Order: sequence, then structure tokens, then C-alpha cells
Amino acid sequence: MGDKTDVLHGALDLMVLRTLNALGTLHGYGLARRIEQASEGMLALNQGTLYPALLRLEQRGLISSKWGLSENNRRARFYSLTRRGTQHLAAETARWEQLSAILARFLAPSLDLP
Amino acid sequence: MTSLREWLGRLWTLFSRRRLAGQIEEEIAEHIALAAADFERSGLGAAEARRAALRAFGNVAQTKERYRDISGFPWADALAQDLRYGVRMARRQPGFSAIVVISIGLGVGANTAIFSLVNTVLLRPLAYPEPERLVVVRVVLPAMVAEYPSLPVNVPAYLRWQIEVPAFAQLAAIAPEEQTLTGMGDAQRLAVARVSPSLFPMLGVTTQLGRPFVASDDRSGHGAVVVLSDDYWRSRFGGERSAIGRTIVLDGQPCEIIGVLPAGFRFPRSAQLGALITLPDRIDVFRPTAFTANEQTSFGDFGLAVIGRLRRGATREQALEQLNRVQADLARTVAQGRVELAAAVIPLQEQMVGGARRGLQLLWLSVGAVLLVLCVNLANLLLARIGERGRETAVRLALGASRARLLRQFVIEHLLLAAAGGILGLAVATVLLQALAAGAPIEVPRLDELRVDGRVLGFGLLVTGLCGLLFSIVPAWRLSRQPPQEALRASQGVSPDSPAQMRTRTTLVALEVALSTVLLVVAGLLVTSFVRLVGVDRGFSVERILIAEVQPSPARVPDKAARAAYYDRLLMRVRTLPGVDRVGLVSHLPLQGEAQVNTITVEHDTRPIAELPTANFRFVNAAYFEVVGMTLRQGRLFDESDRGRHVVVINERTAAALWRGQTPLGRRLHIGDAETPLHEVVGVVADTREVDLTRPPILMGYAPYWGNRVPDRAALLLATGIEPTAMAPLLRHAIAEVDPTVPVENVKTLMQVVDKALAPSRFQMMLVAVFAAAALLLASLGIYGVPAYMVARRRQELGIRLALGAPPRALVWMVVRQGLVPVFAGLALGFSGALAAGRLMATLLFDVSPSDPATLGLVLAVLGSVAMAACYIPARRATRIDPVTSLRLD
Repeated sequence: MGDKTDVLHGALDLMVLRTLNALGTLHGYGLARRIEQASEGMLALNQGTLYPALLRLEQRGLISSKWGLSENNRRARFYSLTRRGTQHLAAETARWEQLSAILARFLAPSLDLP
Repeated sequence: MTSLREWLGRLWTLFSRRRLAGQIEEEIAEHIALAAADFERSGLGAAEARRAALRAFGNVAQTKERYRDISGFPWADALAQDLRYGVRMARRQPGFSAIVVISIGLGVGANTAIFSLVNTVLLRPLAYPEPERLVVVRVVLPAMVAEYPSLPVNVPAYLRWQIEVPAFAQLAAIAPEEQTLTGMGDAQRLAVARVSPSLFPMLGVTTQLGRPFVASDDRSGHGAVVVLSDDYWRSRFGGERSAIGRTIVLDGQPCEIIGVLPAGFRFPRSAQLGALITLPDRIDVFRPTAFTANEQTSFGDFGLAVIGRLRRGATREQALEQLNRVQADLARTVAQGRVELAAAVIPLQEQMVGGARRGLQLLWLSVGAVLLVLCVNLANLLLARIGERGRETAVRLALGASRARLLRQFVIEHLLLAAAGGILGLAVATVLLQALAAGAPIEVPRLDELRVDGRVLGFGLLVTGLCGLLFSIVPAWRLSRQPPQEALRASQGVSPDSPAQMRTRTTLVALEVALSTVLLVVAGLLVTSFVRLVGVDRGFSVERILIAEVQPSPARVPDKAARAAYYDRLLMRVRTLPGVDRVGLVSHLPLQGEAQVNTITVEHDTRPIAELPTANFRFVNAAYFEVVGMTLRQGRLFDESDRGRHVVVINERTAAALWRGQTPLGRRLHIGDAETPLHEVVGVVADTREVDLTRPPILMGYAPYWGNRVPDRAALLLATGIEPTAMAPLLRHAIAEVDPTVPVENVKTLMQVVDKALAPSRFQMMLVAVFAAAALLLASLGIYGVPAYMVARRRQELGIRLALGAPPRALVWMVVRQGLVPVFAGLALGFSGALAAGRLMATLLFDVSPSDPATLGLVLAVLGSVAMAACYIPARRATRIDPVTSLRLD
């Protein structure tokens, strides 16, 4: 596993947490749709990659899940943020912003790369 | 990186995996249905909407796989994979797997069995409450320490200790006795123990029925109550509750049954209470000690076993100091300074099992060494096989498998085999233990407590795991260090032996040889020692002698004269039996240890009692000497004409101790103190090992049974012209004819008595010899392997040498030389180990020095010839190589 996927992982995790933070409880499909909409089509997300990420977040105790009924009136799993998740989101958002600020400075056209 | 929380989360998902797998199916299905519904709403047809939904989702199978990967532990998956692979490999090579499983099974089984013996006897605390506070107390006569380090206790001392030694919370005495039960059918001899009322509470037992003894039962003259053992109650009273309150007659005295002990109660055995105490293995009846006034003042009678429970916080040293203060006072007042007195305090556990420790440790070490040899041998076998896996390994390495992973997989594969062996081993151990408990002729205390407990299971598990690691780790390491390109280049998928690999094998074989050498030396010493013990000049013969023990009931023969008359009648009757040449009578059978020990006071000797010599006395008839073939050295044996006189026959040791260089004949001595009658020495017989085969002859004296002391029990010895056991029914009949109330016991041959005395040594020797033979066999396989492998590897080269005219003898020598390198290294290591081991086992040897040159030489010869043979077989094969075929290979 290379570093790229790790960064991507982190990004996807953050998106999930942020979305759940904004919208409360969602099922997997709802989450995927919401993330696609938020990225305004710029992110070509394989929706399937969402599920391993959700399981991992749940294992870490950042989100919790419950079975409920979907719009189709069938069983679906609904995810919501835990308190730990909320804290984690705040910390991660700050870290991410810092990281992207640094990256932005590095990638600025005027900068001389070593 | 992984936090505990995530780890727990994974653990949870790992266990709920099957459920999760179903859930993710459902979740994905619903996801796709929802997406398809959305696409349909945006105007697509049903089928197209579904396709679009699937496209947006991506690879469903991959998602599920990724999901499964993280819902658990990667290493657990890898482990499961390794295990599956291991099972597959084991099935692919059933022969090899069977060898590993069976040999580890046998090795672990033997080790576990011996360990449970060690565990039961040495490690597990005694089955009494707070056993660490229980001690045995003995008397020490400093003047006699060389002969008897400690003695049983005399009643006056015990009575004072009870009051004057505050370090003991409780103190209890046991006085073993045999008494005759009458009034209930045939007279029956019962094993009776007179015990203090405090004994049962001290050992944590109370009666299952009725009541135990109380202090008032113990008062002089009040002892007419008995408590029955569970066994005796069941066999004699059919387990009836109504037995309580009934009266039985013991030695003519009516006694009321007041209680029955529980079934599981273990009374210490005599050997476990110290030397010079004779207690039968099973006690039928307990009575209170209730010492008579006579006993309370009998200062010179050392016969009590004393057990004490230390007060909490009190130490053995405190108890000893307080005891010695009383002893010093007794020596001053009662003995008027004629004797020095002290005491000894020995932990009960030490007293009970101390004697068995060395022997058990030796067995344990031996069986452990065999297992080690076994593991080394398996490692060697495996090392030879890894050549065949060289290519597989090389391919896996080349494809990017890490060495660590390969190593782990290899070890797990063989741990799996070891585990199978371990399970087999537990079964083997159970069988062995049953055999052991069912009557191994081995003098082991607490054998009746033998069982497999958690500690034994843990030990079995540990040994199995260690075996698996031991035999697989070296080959695994070698395998993973193999350069892949060589293995891939090699022909037939077999990689050549690197010099490093050869060195590893040589080292392993040397180790095997060293361990086998040690075992062979130990076994050799035990065998030599046993042969010497069997062949030792006993001083008496045992062929064609039938024995039987009788004890006339005191009710029928109340005094000395009546007892002597009974023995007279008995001898007269038995002598008339057909086929009987002579009939001897003795008060105590040979080889039963010391008994009837008395001081000898020579006429006019005024030394204090503690400085007088002591001898074992036997009360016999004149025919006894002839029946057991003792040689008369001086004077004469006593005969009927001596009736009415006090005469005695002594052995040479006694004669030398009393009158060195002077004639003992006609001199007079007291058997005991100066109050007893004087006996005239009429003869001297040759020394014998009649008391104990393993000890040099000791001082003995023989007095006629009809003299001053008439034994209350005796053994008859019949010298027969025919097979002695055939006489047994006739003998029983004859004894019953004289007096039907006399119980007859131990009807067997004197040879059987000797065999029983030799049985523990024989058993130990056989076990160790079997272990050593197993080790030798394994080592010879290992020795054989090195040159055999070399011949197989260097076939081509050897063929060329032969073709070019090398003399076969040179080839043989070349191969043998290589095979013998590890043997010499191992022998050197082994002999130095054996010398160290020999010193540890010196106490187990009889008449053999631990560095006995004959034994060492024999071991060298045996191992040397086995090694030569093991190397010669492959060497001969080398000379038979056909150069043409060997060159045609490849």
C-alpha cells in the first residue's frame, strides 16, 4: 500500500465525518450521493470504497451504525457521528487545513523547489 | 499505530464475521437498489438504471474483499493460511508426518508421565491442611549419630515436649502395633496405630461416622475405644452404621467402636515417618495412645513417631531450641548425665519424600535427555528434507515473500505436527500412569495420589511447544538463508548442501552423541550397580525356602512360656510335612530393615548406655542357621540342651566390636541394659546382609526363641526338596491344625522376598536403560545420516574417483572419516557430562564409582561400534557406485 491511498483514505474519512456532522444520520448511499454533490462532480468516487472506510471508522469508534428503514422501505444501515467522532473531526479539520496551507505554499508557481 | 480501541473493535468484528458478511451483502444490495431507483427517477429504464448504479458503485467483489480484510486481523488470516498450508503439507508427506507425530507423541508421553510422578511426589504439597507447618520430631543421640542420625521418640520425652515446647500448636504421637482380634470368627491380625487424639485434627480429618478421640480417651487406662479405617469398616462390618457402639476384642481387651474415618484419608506410611518405625501400609484400627504408667517411665524405649504442627509464626529453629532444652534437662535429671540427648525437627514433606528425590530427578533428567535427542534427530531429518523444498522456497522468495514470513510458515507447519504429537503424548502418558499406579515395583511415597492435574497438562503443553520449536527452528533458519539462485539452478529441484548446512548437521549429531553418551553412562552405572547388588555376597541362601508368618493370639498364649510352647508344637508339626528337610524359625524376616535393635552391655561394662554398641537381635531356632545357610565360624550353635540357660550366637562384626582379637566364646553380655539376664556367647557366625542388601553387614545377635524373650510373632522357613510354592497349602493346613485361631500371612518363597527388595533398583535401572537404548538408537540414525547424505550428494564425484582407479578402501575411509567427526566431538562432550552426572547420582549407586572405568570403557565400545557400523554402511555403498550410471545422471 502506497502513501497515496493513505492520504486518500484520510481525505475520504474526513469527508464522511464532515458530512455526517452536517446532516446527522445517513445510510451509505445517502452519504455517497452527498459527498459526490459536495465535490460538485469533481470527485469520481467509486461508491464501493465507502464501505471499508465506514467499517474502519466504526471500529475506531468515531461513528456508530444502526439498522433502519430506507426510502424504499427496506432494511438499510444508518450511520451517525459519535462524540469521539465529533472531537476527532475538529482536530482533523485543523490538521488538514494546516497541511493544505503548507502544500498550497509549496505548489505556488513562484516558489523555487529545492 | 493501532489503538486498543480499534483493536477491540477488530476483535469484535472478527468474532461477528459471519454475521457481518451477510450484513454487508444486504447493505450493498440496498445501496444499489437506492441508486437504481434514483437513476430511474432521472428517466432511465429499469435495466439501464441498475447497470448505471452498479457502475457507480465500482467492483462489488473487491469491496467485499476489502471489507473482509479489515474486519479482523491480517495476522490471524495469515495464521489460518499457514495452518491450512501446514495441514496440506502434512497430508502430502504422510510418512514423514507420521514419524514426527509418533516420535513426539512417545517422547512427550514419557516425559509427561515422569513429570506427573515428580509433580505428585515432590512438587504438590501434602494433602493435609497447611502442610508447611507440619514437622516430624525425632530424638538424636549424639553418641549414635554415625549409625542412626535420628531415632523414634521415647514416651517420657514426648510427654514433656507436649507441655514444654510452646513452638508447637499441637504435637501428636503414633505408636504402631499389631494386635489380634478375637471373638469374631477366625482370629485376625490387625494393623493398629495408637495415636494421640490431636493427630486427626492436625491432619485435617474427622470421623465420617461417630466421634473421633477426645482428650479423656487418652488418659492412662481409658484407651478401650477404637476408630476404624473406612476400608476395614466396609470389609468387616459391611459399612453398617450399627458398627458404632459395638465392642471388639483386641489382644483380649474389649474395645468400643466409637467412629469411622472417611475413605479418602491418607495416613503417613512408616517409611515416611523415619527410620526404625515399622508401620504397615494400611492401618485397620486406631486406638488412643493412653500410655500405661509403665510406658510413661520407660526411658530407653524409642518407638514413637511424633508429628507436630508449628504454631503460626513459630520457626523450626525455635521449636528445635525448645526441644533441645527439654532434652538437655532429661539427660541431666533422668539419665543422670550418663547420656547426651538432642532432637531433630524435619519438615513432614521432606521426611515423606526426601528419600525418593534423587531417583526421581534422575528419571526426569534421563527422559528429558531422550526427548532432546529425539528433537535433535527430527531437526536433522528435517534438515535433510529442506533440500527438497529448496526450489519451492526459492520461488517464493523470488516472488517477494519475506524471509520472516517463510520462517514463520515453516515453524507453524511443524508446530502443527508437534501439537498432534502432543495430543498423542497425553494419551500415552495416561496409559503409562495407569501402568505406574497399578503397581510399579517402585518405592515411591504418595504413589496413591498420582493423577494428571493442571500443572501436568501445562507441562505437556510446554514440552510439546518446545519440541516443535526445537526441531523446526534450525532447519527453518537454514532454509531461509539459502541463496535462491543456487536452489533454482540445482538439478531435480534439490539444492546442494552448502558447507554451512553440513556444519549445522554435524553440530546436531555431535549434540545427539553427547546426550546419548551421558545416558548410556548413567544406565551403565545403574546396571553395573544392580548386577553387583544381585551378586553381592548376601551371607545367606534363598533357594527352595518357603516362608510363612504367624502370630499367635495373646488371648490363647498369654505369656512367654505358652508362646514358646506354641512355637515348639508348631515346629514339631511342620517338620513332619513330606518334602520338608528342615524348619527354621525367626522373629523377623530377612531384608525387612532394622528391627529389634538393642544395646549390648558386656558383663561388667559400666559405660553410659549411649556409648554402648547396638545390634539387631533375632530370636531363632538352631535350624534357622542351617536353613538359610549361615556359616558357623567359632564355637557351636545352641540346641535343646541349652534350654534353661541364657545363650546367644553373634556374628563376626559383633565379635570384633566387642572383643577385637580375643575369643568371644564363653563371654557374657546383656541384650539391653544391665537389668536383663546375662547371655553366654556360645558361637560366632559369618556376617550377612540379612537386614539390608545395600548396606555392609551390621552387628547381629541371635538368641533362642525359647529364651528370655519369646517373640510375639515369628516366621517359619521351610527348606524343601521340591518346588517350595507347592508346599503352601500343606503348610497352611498344618498351621491351622496346631491352632486354627492363628492367622497365617505372607506365604511365599524367600526368593520372592529378595526379589521384592531388589525391585526398586531393578525398576529404576530398567527405565533408565530403556531411555538410554532409545537415545542410542536415535543417535545411531543421526550418525548414519551424515555420511549417507554425503554419499548420495557426491555420487558423481565418487563415481569418477572409482573410475580413475581410487582404491575402494580409500573411499570407505573418506566417508567414514567424515561420519566420525561429530561422533568424536560428541563423545568428548558426553564423557565430561557423564562425569558430572555420575557425581550427582552417587547416592543411587551400589559398590560402583561414578567414574567406573569398566562402565565408561563399555559405553565407549558400544557407542564406538554403533557409530562405526552406522558410518560403514553408507561407505560401502560408496564403493558399489557404478561409475557409468553415476555419470549418466542429469
